[in-house]
Amino acid sequence: MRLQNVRILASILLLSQLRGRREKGGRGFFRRPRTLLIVDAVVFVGAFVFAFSIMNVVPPEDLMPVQLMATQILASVPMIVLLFMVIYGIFFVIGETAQFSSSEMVNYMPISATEYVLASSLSAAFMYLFILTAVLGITLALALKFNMLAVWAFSALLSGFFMVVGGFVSEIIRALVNRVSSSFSKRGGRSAIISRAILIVFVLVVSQLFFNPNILYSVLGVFAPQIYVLWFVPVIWPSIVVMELANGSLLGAAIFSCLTVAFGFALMGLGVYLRARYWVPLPVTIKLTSSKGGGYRGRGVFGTLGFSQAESAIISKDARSLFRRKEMVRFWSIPIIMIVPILLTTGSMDYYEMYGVTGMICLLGAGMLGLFLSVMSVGQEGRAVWNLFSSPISARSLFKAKVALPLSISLIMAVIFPVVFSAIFRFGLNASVALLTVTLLGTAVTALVGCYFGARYPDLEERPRSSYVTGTGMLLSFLVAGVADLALVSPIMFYAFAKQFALSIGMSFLVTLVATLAVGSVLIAVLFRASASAMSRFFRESPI
Amino acid sequence: MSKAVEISSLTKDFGSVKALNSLNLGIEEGQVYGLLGPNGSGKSTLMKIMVGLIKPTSGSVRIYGSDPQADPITVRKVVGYVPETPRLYDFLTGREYLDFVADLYGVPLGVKRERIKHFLEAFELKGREDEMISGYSQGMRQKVVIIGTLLHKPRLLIMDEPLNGLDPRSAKIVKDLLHKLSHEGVTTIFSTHILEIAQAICERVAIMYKGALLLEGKVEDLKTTAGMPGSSLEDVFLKLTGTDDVRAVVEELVK
Repeated sequence: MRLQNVRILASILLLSQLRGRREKGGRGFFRRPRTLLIVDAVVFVGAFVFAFSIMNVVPPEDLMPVQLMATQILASVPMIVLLFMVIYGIFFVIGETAQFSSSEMVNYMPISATEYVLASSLSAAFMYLFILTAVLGITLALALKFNMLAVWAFSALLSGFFMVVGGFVSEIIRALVNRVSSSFSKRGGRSAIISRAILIVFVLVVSQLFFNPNILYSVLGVFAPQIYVLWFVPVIWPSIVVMELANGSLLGAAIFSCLTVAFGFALMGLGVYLRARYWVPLPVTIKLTSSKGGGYRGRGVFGTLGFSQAESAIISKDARSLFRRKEMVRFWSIPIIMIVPILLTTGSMDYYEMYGVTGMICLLGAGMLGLFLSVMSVGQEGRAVWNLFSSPISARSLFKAKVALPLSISLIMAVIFPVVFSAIFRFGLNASVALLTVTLLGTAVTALVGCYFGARYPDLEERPRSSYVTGTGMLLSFLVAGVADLALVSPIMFYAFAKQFALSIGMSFLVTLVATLAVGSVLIAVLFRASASAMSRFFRESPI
Repeated sequence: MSKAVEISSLTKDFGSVKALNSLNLGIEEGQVYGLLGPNGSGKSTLMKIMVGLIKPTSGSVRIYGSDPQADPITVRKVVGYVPETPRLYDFLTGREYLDFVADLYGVPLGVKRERIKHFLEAFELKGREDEMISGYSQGMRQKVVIIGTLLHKPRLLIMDEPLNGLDPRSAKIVKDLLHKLSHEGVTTIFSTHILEIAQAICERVAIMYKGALLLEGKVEDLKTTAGMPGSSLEDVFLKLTGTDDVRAVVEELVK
């Protein structure tokens, strides 16, 4: 192994992560590895100051439960870091655009598997070091408060080591997924595509649950006291080291430290072995069987709804893109990822809280889905957009096709969510009607907002993890959608929070509903025109 | 014979770079017309303007009498375009992609089924049409793009380096096809760096350099005009584009 190669490759991989995900290239301040170090330091100091100030404000009796768990918290840090890196690895595999896997320079450069695995793990650890420094900042405040500085120092050391070990695990996951995916896809066809989509959604939901503070705290509460019971599980060893040190048992700490280091090297060895054996540099060949019609599209559902042949073809192509491209799954699964933790933490809510949360779930589930699907509808064309620009379709046709799919999928969800939740939570008729109206209108509004910003700020560049819309476009779409939805729900919120006053000025439920419909219709009309115009502007000249 | 393409005083600037400089060109219907020129001479830009993908800075282009900027749909209905580096939708199968392209051009179901089947067989893609394009080689992708270009029976083919990555059999099919289509009145404009191909299949060629037209005409006429009647087209090209110092460059490289 040549350390010089590892160093060069690690810095190149780091640069690729720093620059690859942004819409424009360049060497700006935030695209330099050294800037990361400054960010890490700022995060560390900020987290420490924040946690320390809070602990000095909170009365000592309220800090008792934290003090009792202090050792367990410090002991858990290396394991949390490892789990984070594993999740990062999974996300990397999910987000990576397939076509780039074959262009990695390691496939044709004289770089050994060991050098690659080490460099890749180091660059990943360095990229996400700010997570570790944030946790260490908080735990340092804890350690200072409860005189556990030596334990903290050891916890920090092990966490740093486990950050790199987590990178090895990510490499193992990548190699295995590569192998499994290529074999499975070759034989599986459509079922492989569907299974992959379901698996990605499942992984994303589990990852999201892992980062939910409520859920994390309860899991830690159950798990932390039982660390010694699980002494034979290697992932627990660094936690045992910290616990032994806190209890003053240096021999135990030394034994488990050695085991931890050995575990790290074993994982690296496994990562190298799998990389060398299972790496599949070429994209897999997926064969799909033809449908009964001989594999050619007739009028289709959208054709019978009045869409032209070309419009239906674009809609059908975009629908296939949604489900077949693994990098697209993360977009349409976002509402599911957002909803599950909310559902799991509803616990003991009263009727009004439940209604509010249900409204939020409906708008997130359907509205955000519409926003995400439409905001990336243009950018997801990538450099293949020439196919549209060189064909005899009008900007109006393109707009119709690009807005139809996000609207139809999200509006279906906008009906399902309120109806199902109203039935489950036994909301009254007025509440159910209001929920359905707001969700339907809100979804249409957010989908059109997405369409406008998707056409205005498309990101057609193809890179390992494309985002299909520029950062500005994404940010503005969230902002405008939020403001528009707030305007939409304001009549109903006014009625709900100041019912007596609303009734006294003649604003009955029916009037409130009509006002909501009016606001929604105006917003939809304005946004429809704006989106059509943005699409027309986009379609004037090929950006590629 | 009527003109398929009429270009007058066409200029295209990309910032300070002049990609096309006051270009005038007329291409008759049914011709196979070769655009030659070194990298950066403006061939691809000219083709993109003809399809209406990009706007010219000044000047005019007429495709069968229509302006691709003012009336792009009319122009694109009769044009088939192969870009220099065509990106396809990797998540579609070859057949789905061709089905998609045929639908964009409004080809009826029965016709598209027949034509796609026919072309897949001709280009030896039969049996691979239900595989996703992500697994196709560069040559297979190029074949798919060329088939997509021909599905709607265009009157004008604009092909930017169409033979890139094609195996000899497919390249021969494309060349013969262009000849045959020419007899049926289809005009083809194609760019290539392989001068033997241009010499073999083009009725007329234009040599472009730095956005301007250096010379235009039949291959034999070009040789005479350049004062090199017995030379190859390659020699004429290298002399006209000022790149005939290759021997010195090669000698420098092997030092």
